[in-house]
Amino acid sequence: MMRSDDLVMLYSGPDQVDYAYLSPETAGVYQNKHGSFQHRSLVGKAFGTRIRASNSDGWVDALAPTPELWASAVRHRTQIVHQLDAAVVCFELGVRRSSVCAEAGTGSGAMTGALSRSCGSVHTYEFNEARATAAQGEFERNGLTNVTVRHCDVCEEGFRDLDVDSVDAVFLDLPEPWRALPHALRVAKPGARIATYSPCVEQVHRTRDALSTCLDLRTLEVRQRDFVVKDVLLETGLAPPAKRRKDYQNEDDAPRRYANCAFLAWF
Amino acid sequence: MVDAGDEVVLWTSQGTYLFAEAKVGSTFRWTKRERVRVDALIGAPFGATFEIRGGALVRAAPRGAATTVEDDGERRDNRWLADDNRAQRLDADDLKRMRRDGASGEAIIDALVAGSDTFAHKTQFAQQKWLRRKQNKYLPWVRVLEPRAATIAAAYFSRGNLLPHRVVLRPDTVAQLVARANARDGAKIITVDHSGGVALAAILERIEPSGKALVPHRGPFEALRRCNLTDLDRRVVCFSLDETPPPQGDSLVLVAKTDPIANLDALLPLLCPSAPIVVYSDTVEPLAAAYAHLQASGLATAILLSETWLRDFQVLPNRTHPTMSMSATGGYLLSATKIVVADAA
Repeated sequence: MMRSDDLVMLYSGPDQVDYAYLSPETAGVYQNKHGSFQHRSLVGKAFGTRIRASNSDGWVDALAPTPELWASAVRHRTQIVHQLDAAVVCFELGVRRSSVCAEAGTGSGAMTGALSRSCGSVHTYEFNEARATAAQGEFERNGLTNVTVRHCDVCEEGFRDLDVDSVDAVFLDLPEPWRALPHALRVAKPGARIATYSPCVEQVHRTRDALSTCLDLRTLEVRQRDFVVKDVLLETGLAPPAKRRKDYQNEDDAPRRYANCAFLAWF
Repeated sequence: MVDAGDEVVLWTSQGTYLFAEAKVGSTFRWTKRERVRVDALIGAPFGATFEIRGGALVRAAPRGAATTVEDDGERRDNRWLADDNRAQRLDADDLKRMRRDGASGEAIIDALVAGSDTFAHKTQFAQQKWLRRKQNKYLPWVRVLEPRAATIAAAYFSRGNLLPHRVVLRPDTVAQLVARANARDGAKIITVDHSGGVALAAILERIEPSGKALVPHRGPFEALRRCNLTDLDRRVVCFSLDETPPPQGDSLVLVAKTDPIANLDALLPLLCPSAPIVVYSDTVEPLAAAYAHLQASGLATAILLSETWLRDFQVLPNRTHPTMSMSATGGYLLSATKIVVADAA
């Protein structure tokens, strides 16, 4: 049931995912190109209800938050780790409720959300103070109680406040992960797993060099291909059809290819 | 640490996975004729490396790092190489005799190097690769791995050809599956699992300690037995479609050999609104039909049909490239979110 102050994800298409904290008392309104939606028309309904606009035929689906939806809606303070890569990182890190995880940098917090869902606790580090403060505010407001944000440059200062041999998993999304790796290896328990995320193969080389004492190194790349499902009526004949036909009913149907490719290195 | 009685996964120097039980006197099949005792596993930390000596595992120094070959500054190439299969002077009988006489792996590799007319003419990179292959074969080792969901998935995937009656999931597809299903602590996840328990193992890892997997059939879930899970009866709860009141789920995961549309029709009513739905198939057509079915039903939003593409890389100085062969497809995933339509105000 949606209540005042709840975080609600507002879905009206793959390229239009927003969110709102419901504020019926102050006459909160969510607006997009499909129409306007009064917050009070959501309150009392179940998460997962399709809501009609008050001023048009438009609709929006009011969904319960998930890390995937949040990643589609969050304001990008930095390039984010997309849900495709986040899923593989969390799975290969083997994180579970008993796991303590360290992450650097926090960035927009999309990856932190995925880690928070799976881990017992997440210690996330960000060297940009404004980003750290913004992320902390979001995590608190969204109820990610197992996340601790620290404003700290892990390449210079290491993972502040974490003990030697204290974390089960480390995730590094930094321009120079190799500079943070000696610190990461210090706080990682024996047998812990480390993942780094880099767009360039040169970064992977330097990262692998810094991981020379580790076993089971693996470097991989993941991509996602989406399919369009539609009925097509084809005319017969060798000549091109007389009428010009649109291939796609609307832009949302056009095949999309996510270019969020990255190299991941495992230990 | 490996406790007595634990199920473990062994990763071999030849790149294969084996299952074993860490029990005194227990063995696993190593070659057609050779079985190996596992006693040394007990008390070892996960990640430890073992050699195989005299039919038993023996704890050894970590392996798997690249072998280095001294650079003598000489340029070599294969312009004189005649591919006539006569480069090696030792034949299979010689090797058999050496093994019977108890020659060590090192001695056999030295003899193979000495017996090779072409080894000295290979480039250093080629020598290194050749040596690593021989070492993996004649000085075999295994590494003991914790049977977490990712390890179990990788082991089952590598042995997939042995399981024609199962859905064989590529590990990265399992990763997408549990993420899109929003599997988390406390969730009740309705799961149809025809993968032998590989999908369930990943779900259970995510929903601990208080979540449950609700399954409409009793198995077989033999992969779960390999995960050292206690309390399976509490975590995996069997239900019947005739139950009153029917159980309610927070997510639906279908990894089935059976028709997705019929399964969706049967199980969608059990989902609460906003519940994620994830359906796997190794062919795309049944999911295209299910996509259209969901769209027409008006019961789902954010419908997405996709496949993931996975490429591993060899990363070595001057030799970085995608691995020579990769899996062509990890199958297809259809995901959606259940909705209800508000009454007209």
